[in-house]
Parts: sequence; C-alpha cells; structure tokens
Amino acid sequence: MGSTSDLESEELERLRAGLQMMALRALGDPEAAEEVAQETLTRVVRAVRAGRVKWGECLGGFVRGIARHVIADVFRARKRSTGLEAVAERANAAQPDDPLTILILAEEQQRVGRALSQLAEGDREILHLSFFAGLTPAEIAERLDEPVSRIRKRKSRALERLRRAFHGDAGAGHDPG
Amino acid sequence: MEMLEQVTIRGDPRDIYRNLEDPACLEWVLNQPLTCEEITNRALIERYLAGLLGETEAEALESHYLFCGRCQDELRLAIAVRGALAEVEAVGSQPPPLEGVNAADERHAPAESVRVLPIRRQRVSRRAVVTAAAALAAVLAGLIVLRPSDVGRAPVHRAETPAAEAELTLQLPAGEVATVEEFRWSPAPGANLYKVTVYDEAGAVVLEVETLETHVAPPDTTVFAPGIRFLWQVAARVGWDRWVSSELAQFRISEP
Ligand SMILES: [Zn+2]
Repeated sequence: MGSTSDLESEELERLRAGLQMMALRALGDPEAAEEVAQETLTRVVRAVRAGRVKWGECLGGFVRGIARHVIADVFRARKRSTGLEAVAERANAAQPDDPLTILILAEEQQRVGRALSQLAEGDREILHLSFFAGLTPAEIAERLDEPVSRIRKRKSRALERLRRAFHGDAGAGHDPG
Repeated sequence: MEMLEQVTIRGDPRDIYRNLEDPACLEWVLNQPLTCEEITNRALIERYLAGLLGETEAEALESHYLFCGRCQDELRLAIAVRGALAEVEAVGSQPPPLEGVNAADERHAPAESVRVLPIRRQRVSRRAVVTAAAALAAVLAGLIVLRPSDVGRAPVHRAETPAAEAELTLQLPAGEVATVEEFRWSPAPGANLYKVTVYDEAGAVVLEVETLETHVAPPDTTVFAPGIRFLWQVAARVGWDRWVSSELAQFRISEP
C-alpha cells in the first residue's frame, strides 16, 4: 500500500476488476482469480516502477500477456494438485452455477430478471440469440428475416432497459439515445 | 460524464504518442485497438461470454476491457442478462432457440449448424451437477463402468429417457491423441440436435457445444492441455425436451 501513490488507485482498482473477470472466466475459481489479479498487478506495477513501461490503457496488451502467463502457472499448479479428493469435494460443494455470476450482486441479478420478464417475447428471443448463440445483429436479422436496423434497434432498446434495471435506475438516467 | 471519456482515449490523445517508445504501446497503437462502440457493434462481449471469440478477438477485447470501466460494466450486465435468460429458460416459459425461429429452416443451415454454448450451469439442477460430478469421480477412480443412464442426463433433460434409445456411440477422440480436431459420434435415430459436453479431470465443464451434425470441431478458444484426462459425452435430442445420452468417453492429449 502507498507504494502505488503515483498510480491512481481508481485506475488500479479498475484494472484489478478486469483481471479478475479475465481470470475467473479462464479458471472458474474466484480464489484463483483473485490470486491471478494480485500477482499480475504486482508484476505490472513493478514494470512501471522500473520504467520498462508507462502506465496507461495502452498497456492493455502488455497486462493481458502477463495475466495469461500467471493464469497458465495457476492452471499448471492446480493440475498437479487436482486429485480425486478435489473432484469429490467439488461434487459436494455448493458452488454458484456460473462462476462469473459471482461478479453480480443478488439484487442486480433480480432486477435484471424482473426487467427481462417484462420484455416482449421477441425481444427475449433476440437477446437469447445474442447472448447464448453469440449471433451478431446481422446474423439474427437473417435468421428472423427482418431488417438489420430493426434487430439492432430492438436489441439495443431491450438491453437499455436491462441496463437501467441492472444499475437500479428505474426511470430516468441513461439517455436511451 | 467521465465514463464516456475513458472509453476512447483518456486525457490528452497525445499521451499515446508520448508513450510510443514503449513497445507495448506502439503495438497497441498499431493494432488499432477496439473502441467501445466497435465492441457493441460486433457483439464481442456476447460472443466472448458465449465462448465464440477467436484468440485474436478475445485478445483485443480483453486488452481493452482491462482498462475500460464502461466495458467492464457491460460485461457484468451481460453476465446478469445471461443468468436471467437461463433462469427464464429453466422455468420453461421459453422454447429453446432452435424451435423458436424458423424451425423448418433449421434442418439444413450449415453456417449456423453449430452453436457453442456458454458453460451454462444455471440450467443444470444442483442435483444433476452433483450426480454427474460424483459419477465422474467414480469413473476417474476406476470404480464403475458407466452406462448411458448413469450420468449425463443432459442438463436440459427433464423427461425420463428409455435406456433402449441410447444408441449414441462416441468415436473420436478416444484414448491418447495428439490433438483434438473434432468430436465425432454415431448418429442417434431421430435425433435433431446434439450437445457435446467435455469435462476436465476435476469434473468441470470445459466445453459445451450444440450441433445438428454428428461431428463438431472445438472452437480454437478451447485449449485441451496436454497430460490431462478429459471426459466427454454427447446428448441427442430425440423429441421435444427428450434427450438420450452416450456413455462417457475419455481422451488425453499426449505430452510433447
Ligand atoms: Zn470500452
């Protein structure tokens, strides 16, 4: 602590959050993700201090490269320690369903769920095709035989409602543009 | 609003050029990094979470969101949306997408015949997870030989499956292999959709893919590390909400 005074702590925290997302997605384990974030940050800050790189978002690729290394290390270490006990333990553990949902507060999830249930079925369908099938608006448009512009509009409108719900913003707030 | 400022270039754009002596920064500039708008337009976050981004796009996206608060928010929103969608689906109030849209056109749609599913554990009941994991543990321990009905009630499976219909046989990969170019299995009578699930040694799902074919190539974002034993299984949908499952098969990538 304190040693990062020249780096804005807000920026560091943002980077830490990003690293946690990345590691959680790769490893599925919150504890390991935190470990990766911490180790990566330490290495990055060290590199900045040593003058090897300059702090800023153009470090994205650099930081990601470090994080990938750290993730690979953790992965290897876990592989060594993974035994049948771990499997059995995991079978009994009450872990959350999707590891990434740990990043979401219960009330955020509930609000989004409620907002989703209020959307038109067709809009939910578009979201489903986007978020689960990973289709782009153009692909969805082709599939549903509708103009892309329409799909794009419906998707962004539906998402905007969910976004407001997510941020606990019932009415005003973000300009839907 | 400050959120909007940091999405492009925070502060003085000339900062970038000031940093050009940094190889990493130079590379960043040359690579024309993504903007938030581009990420939205190309549905990169959605595809990322669905496991559909290639390495190049994933790298660009991750390099971006590490430093972008707005895109981190969008990622969290996307995770919540996926969770909510999965919940809606689990309740069963929404037909699976393949029925929902132009079902008649689905039969021959090569470009869209493969869908990589997110690792969507929301749809799996807790009991199913425990059962599958316990079964995996037993297999790994060499305790039992699995029969189709033992595990792998596919996550979406709700109806009972007559064991007689489980004719699915896994073909490739099997045993020790150098790489996994594709997964291949025998067709199940009447199947209109297949779902492939791959587990690692710890029983975690590393890949879930749906396809209309009887073979599928893993996306290049999925890495099968050498030396680790993987188990895989195919479930075939043979009717509305009726699935039959293959046995579990093992493979292992030989160590270099
Ligand atoms: Zn962004």
